[in-house]
Amino acid sequence: MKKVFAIFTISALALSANESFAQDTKIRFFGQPEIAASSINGKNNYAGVDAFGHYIKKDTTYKQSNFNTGNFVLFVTSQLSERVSVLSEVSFTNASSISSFNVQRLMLRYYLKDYFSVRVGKMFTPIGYWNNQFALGLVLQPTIQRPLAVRTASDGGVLQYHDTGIQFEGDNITNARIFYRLMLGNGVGYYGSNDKGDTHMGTTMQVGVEPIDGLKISGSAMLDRVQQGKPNPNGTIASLPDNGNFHLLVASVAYMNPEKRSEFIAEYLGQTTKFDHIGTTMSYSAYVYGGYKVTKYITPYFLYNYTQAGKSTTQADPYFTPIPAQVSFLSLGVRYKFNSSFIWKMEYQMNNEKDFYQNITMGNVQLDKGFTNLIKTNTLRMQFAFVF
Amino acid sequence: MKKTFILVPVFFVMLTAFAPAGPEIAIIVSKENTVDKLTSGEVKLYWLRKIKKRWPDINKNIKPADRKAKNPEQDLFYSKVLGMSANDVETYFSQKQYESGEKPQDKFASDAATIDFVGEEPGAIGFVNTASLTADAKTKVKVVLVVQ
Repeated sequence: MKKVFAIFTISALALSANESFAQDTKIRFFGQPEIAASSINGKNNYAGVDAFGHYIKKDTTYKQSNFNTGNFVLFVTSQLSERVSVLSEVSFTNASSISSFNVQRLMLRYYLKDYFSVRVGKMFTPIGYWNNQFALGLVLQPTIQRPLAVRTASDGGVLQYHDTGIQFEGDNITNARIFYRLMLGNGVGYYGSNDKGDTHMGTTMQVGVEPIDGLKISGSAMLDRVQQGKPNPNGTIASLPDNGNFHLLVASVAYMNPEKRSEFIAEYLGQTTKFDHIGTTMSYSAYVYGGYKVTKYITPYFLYNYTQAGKSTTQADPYFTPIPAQVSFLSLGVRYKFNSSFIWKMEYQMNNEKDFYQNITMGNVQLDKGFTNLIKTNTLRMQFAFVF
Repeated sequence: MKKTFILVPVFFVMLTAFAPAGPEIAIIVSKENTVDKLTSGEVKLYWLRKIKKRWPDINKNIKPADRKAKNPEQDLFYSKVLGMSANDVETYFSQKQYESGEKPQDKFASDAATIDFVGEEPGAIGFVNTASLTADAKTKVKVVLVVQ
């Protein structure tokens, strides 16, 4: 992959060397301080398993409120020549006295035709709509919290939301305005690694149409192989039990036209892992977002998300979580747009999570009976998002 | 009462007659561009780089030119040609830049600066008050549409 990157970079620069061009660099800085308050109204009863194989049940209900600086994102783009541009996006996070710094994107793009250009480097994986439109610049994102399906691993999600590799893409093909993306990259990530360190390359494809302005309908697929012994992406399993073929299929419909009052996004993400020996496991998540611009400043909105981790209430998906779970939430919010650079959002989220703990057995002896743990969380969040 | 009834409409008619006319803007492109006429809809698509990123005949990047500060010409261009508010235009270009690194519109402080830019950049497209199109300016750029 490194060789491909080097060859591509040299070729792109050589091809554009004969075009005289004044380099044009734009620097933007995204920040999103957040004030969040959350309270758990239901009881969270699970607190582990004791040495005798019995569930430890303890009420761990808590309340908290906190200020959060969120991510600060330095975003730089530069047009190096008529056809070559570069983009870099670096995020700084400061949570619980731990500061971290991440290269979110670093890519070079060579534009040949409207229907064919090439990107190389680290970029968002071409999965669905949300992931490519709103990743870290929360001033552009319509809600405070992302749908669970497209959350980052550090936020409990499993999506490989960015990847390193090469991407071929095209837009506005025919009157139907067909677009496509084909990415060959490192593929699915494992917890704790910025880029995965296994021997398999991932392939991600996306094909879609934009029949009317702002309406995008697309399908995406990501194919890769996961490796035994590696942790799953969000770190809930330290060691995957088997090698397997990983498939992620995504269907998206989005109508986000700045000239219109209504906004709508719906996406379905279905993930299947066909393990070599232990069979097939799967999870899926679907969400619907809707908003309506009452005035040019105020947009009330909702976001409903349902996620099932595991094939059923008795079969878990080790790629996602060690126990089967169902998570649903409804967010009701309002967005106030002072201007294109400064947005205030307030959101109330009702989150229900059911974790299905199974019977604990040793041989044929049942040590403890399984139970369903219901965790209810109601959260009020407020966010100031800005860019300059 | 009758007198008042007659005088009030007359007064308003006079006010309208002497009120300054709204600006008239010209959409301009480089002399090197082979395009001669564009419709309002086409200007919108090119200026926003919605369908095409490059001009078909001259094969140069489309470079939209905007004004730095709010002014009547910009208001007219945004409302009549783009059908968008200033915030919507900024968000649109921010979104494009964020998604794919696409360069946002260039912004200029005056009509004269816009004319110089469009004259020098074969792929540029901008808008200026028609009153700013002096004989010298017309040697640098050509008008593809006039909007009132």
